Amino acid sequence: MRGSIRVSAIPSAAAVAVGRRPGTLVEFLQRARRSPPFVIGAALFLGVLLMAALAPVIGVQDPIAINIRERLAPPSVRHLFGTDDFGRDVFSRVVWGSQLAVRLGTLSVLVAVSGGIVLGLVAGYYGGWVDQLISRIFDLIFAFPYLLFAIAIVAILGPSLDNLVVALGLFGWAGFGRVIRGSVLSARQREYVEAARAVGARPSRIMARHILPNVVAPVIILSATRFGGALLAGSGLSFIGLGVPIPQPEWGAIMATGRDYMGTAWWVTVFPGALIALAVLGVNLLGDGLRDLLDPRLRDA
Amino acid sequence: MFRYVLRRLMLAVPVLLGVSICVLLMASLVPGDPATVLAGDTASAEQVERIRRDLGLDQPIPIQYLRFLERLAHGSLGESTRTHREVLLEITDRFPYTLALALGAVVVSTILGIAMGIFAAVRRGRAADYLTMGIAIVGLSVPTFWIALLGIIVFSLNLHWLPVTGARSPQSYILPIFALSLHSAAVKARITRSSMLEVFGQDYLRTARAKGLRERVVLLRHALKNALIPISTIIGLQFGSLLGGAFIIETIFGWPGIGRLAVQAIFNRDFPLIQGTVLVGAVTYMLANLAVDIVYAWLDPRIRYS
Amino acid sequence: MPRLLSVVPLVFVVAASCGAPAPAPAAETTSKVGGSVTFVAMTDPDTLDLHQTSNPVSSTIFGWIYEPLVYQDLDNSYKGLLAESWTVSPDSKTITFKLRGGITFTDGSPFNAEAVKFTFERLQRLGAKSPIFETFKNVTSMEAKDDLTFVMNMKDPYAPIFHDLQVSYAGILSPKTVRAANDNISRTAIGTGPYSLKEFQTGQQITLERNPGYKWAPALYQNRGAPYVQELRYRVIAEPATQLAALDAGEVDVLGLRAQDLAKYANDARFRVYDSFTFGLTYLGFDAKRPPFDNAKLRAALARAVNKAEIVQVVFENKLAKAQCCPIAESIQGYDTRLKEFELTFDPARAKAELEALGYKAGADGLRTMPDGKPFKPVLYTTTSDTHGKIATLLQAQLKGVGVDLQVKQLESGALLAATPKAEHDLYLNGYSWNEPDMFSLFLSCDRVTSSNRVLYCNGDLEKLIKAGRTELDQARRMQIYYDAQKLTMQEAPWQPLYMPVSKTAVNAKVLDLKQGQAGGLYWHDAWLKK
Repeated sequence: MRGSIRVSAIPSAAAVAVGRRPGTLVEFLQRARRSPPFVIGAALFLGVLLMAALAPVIGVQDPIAINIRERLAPPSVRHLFGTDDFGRDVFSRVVWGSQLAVRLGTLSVLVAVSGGIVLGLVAGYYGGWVDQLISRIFDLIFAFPYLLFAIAIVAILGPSLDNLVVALGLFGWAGFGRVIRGSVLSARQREYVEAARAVGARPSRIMARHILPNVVAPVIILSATRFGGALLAGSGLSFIGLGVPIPQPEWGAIMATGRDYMGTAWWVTVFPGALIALAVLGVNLLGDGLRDLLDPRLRDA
Repeated sequence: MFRYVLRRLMLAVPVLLGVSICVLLMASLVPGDPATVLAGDTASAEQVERIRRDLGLDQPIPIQYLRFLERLAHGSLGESTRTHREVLLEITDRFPYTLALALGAVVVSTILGIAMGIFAAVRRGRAADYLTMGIAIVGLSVPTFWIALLGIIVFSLNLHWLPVTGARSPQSYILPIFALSLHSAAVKARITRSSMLEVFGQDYLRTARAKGLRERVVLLRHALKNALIPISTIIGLQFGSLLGGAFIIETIFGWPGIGRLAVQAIFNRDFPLIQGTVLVGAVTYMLANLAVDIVYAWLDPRIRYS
Repeated sequence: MPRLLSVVPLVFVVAASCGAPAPAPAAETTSKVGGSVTFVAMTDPDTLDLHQTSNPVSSTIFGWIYEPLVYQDLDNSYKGLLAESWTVSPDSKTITFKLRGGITFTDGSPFNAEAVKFTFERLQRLGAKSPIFETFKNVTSMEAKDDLTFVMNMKDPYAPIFHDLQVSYAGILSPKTVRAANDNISRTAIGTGPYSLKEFQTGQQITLERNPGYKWAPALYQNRGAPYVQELRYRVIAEPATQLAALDAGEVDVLGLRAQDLAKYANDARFRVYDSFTFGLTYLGFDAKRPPFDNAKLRAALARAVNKAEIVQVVFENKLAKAQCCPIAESIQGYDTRLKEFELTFDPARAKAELEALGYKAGADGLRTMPDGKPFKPVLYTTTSDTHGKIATLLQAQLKGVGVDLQVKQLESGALLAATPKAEHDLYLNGYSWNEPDMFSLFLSCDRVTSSNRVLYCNGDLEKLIKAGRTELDQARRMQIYYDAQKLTMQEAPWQPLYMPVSKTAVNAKVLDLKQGQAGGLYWHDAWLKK
């Protein structure tokens, strides 16, 4: 290791650097049932997933159909969450918006994880100049103001979910990469890895069979945090008009239009705002719960 | 220690060069050039061409980069294409405001976060613990811009306590700092709590307690020191999001900071100014992290830098 | 950017020549002097160098500090400001200006013909970023004949010359200051106007202070001397929600309102709302160079699917915009009500029929395909402005009504300016703000298809009319040319004109004697503040 020590980007996951392979699924679920953060978090997260999956069933009204005779109508039986400034049903928009939220969160985490795993594994396994080089790349990414980069990408290439995913995902590489590198460094010292190397197993095989399982736990925990982070960053960008293209019902974008009517039509901001908060709360609690369950040290504390 | 610092500073050079090359790549890939933007929507093609020539943009990208390095060697970041002022001057006009926000947010969020974390940890498992951590996790889940707007509505419009915009009085720092602090205060509260709980179970703490020291001293000396290591990491990272993270807050509060300057520079394709602001952001981040690593050594004597 | 336009003090550019200054009674004048008024600016002015910017915030500031030779009166005629009178040679190529005497710059140096010559020659030398750079390319030589006589020789007769000379970018600089600063005047501004620059706090505020030596205010005002308001401030606030909060909290005194704010301020005793229309038009354009919209029939069919009344109602509450028939907005000379008969009015049934006839058949989902069977998904390019986003949302719904699946791409201005000359777009939504029928040469001429003509429309007949309009100095004949040009444009439909923006400005009730102009803004020179 080089001269400096460094705690990983997301400290909650740092504690997990030396993860233990989880037991069987049944055992895991039995323990999980007794963890309130996990149960509440999982329920909220599943709720968002269900909402996204069932959007065509729940959000029966067309989320982009304009009805100028019913502009800014308050919540009613017909429009549960009221209507926005174009008379669009806010409930339907929020429900369909969950699909965008799930896609944004999942895809940006996937982009971040896949880049992070490759770089982190290679850096941690090979060490030496390879590690030095990749660590410098991580430094570079951390030193680069990522939100600024995201703003630039979206502003210049135009608002779109894909551009948002790329902008938010690319900069997750370094976060995941550092955590994974740390886990690999410690796993590499383990006896079974030494043994596998001694019998001449190929590096790719060692990495896939012996080292990768060790990084699963920290990656899952970090993913949960990053999922929430992507939703917040996405809504922030939408708020300044750099999110998804119109008329897509992204939550932050609905809130952004609603801020002009906060005094007269609170429902346009409050409902999507609550959904963002609940979804992020869900993944945060889920992350907490998973950390408690997967991290032996904290569980024993 | 001195040699360590020197080594770290030398390692920073290739990273900074990398950052500047990334900016350059970004610049060459984006559509639109400063000449088009400066000329405006009524300009003729000839006007655009002439501006391009005046700015030296007709040169190939690698040549432009070499020019940049050459100027840098002479201590200059060049001239903003938009304002025709020295980039360094543009930055020094704005940077103190952003730095003040960042430092204020570091202080406020650290104090708030540690206080909440200790409070929750010593009452572990009780209602106060759940309540405090509940507040923290809500703080993590609410968008910053939302908190900022609510702050304006409550404290400026309804209570008339604080100004809405600008950086003219000490009071005007309160809302932006508070809005910028909440998220990291929540993170720090959670870390403080869990690292303190971790320490509670460890041997040296039992020893300290057995030696008869008062419990409060034990808490502060040992547990807190342990919590400070991850917290200083967070502080280092807070400086990493200085430019981008402050942008939304700066926009909402009309704050004359460097985040807005950087985003405006992107919109204007003002490449010297983009380079300047990004580099200043990167340098600040790296210095902050070097400071953090030095603090580690002070916090934990087991860590030795060579 | 309607918000910006609404705070433009076109006002001071408006200053007349006739009559000797008749100062108001001294006692009254002093009692009214004092206080400050705070405006909002979306961004910093990029530079205060009069010749190196086309930025609207800079232009606003220039309006207080600098004065041009002429101004445009309420009836659209041109009157002298720093010039007293002028004569045009029989071949229309030489203009001789007689300048007003006794005027000084705020650095103490006198205003004279030499200063005018110095200023315009600097514009020719450094002004590539200025909106009137092209105008001065036509100027072959300039001469300061005597202290107060300035002569300008042009290559070709140029009808819009007085329009171009009255914009704030055509103000006159103090040669003494510019020379002392070695041409670097990005943060120095010395003119003859009623205010001078006091402080420029970057990213935060620009402060102007009253020019106590100003005594050449136009007859339009009661007050012929220096302005009463001691300080003007421009506070930089980008976020609309914050701008409103600042107005409510009294940190800002003047703010252009958006449609959604109107109801709130209409009955608020703390503010008075002033109305004015603007010299601009927002249009829906079609990329006339690239298939399929090189076909005028297709352009006309889609133009008929556009419901202007609905846009004006939903986006502007029928208050902040007025639907327009023709390429020249009703506030600008050249507008002609006879042209209304050529308007492509909203008629979805006819739009559908015409699309059918062109081979754009509707599928099972009601959406049309191109004659070759490919899906018809034209892309609209526009800015990231909130207003344009809302209009695009409505256009999407309106075109869907005739089976056209419109895609919308909102681009930040730099990317948009770069994209349009490459003909990446199918449709284009944006506006112009140019109080001269010669706007045709900027936005619809063949010369500009690689730059400011963002619909890439080039038509030989129209080109002849545009050229004729530029050189024709007879007003009646010139207006006939623009009648023909508009008729042709309306039939060919590279543009579907949508609306003229109207501005409504909330002003703190502490401001008294503020005059509401017919167009362009508010008249501040008589205004004073309740103590």
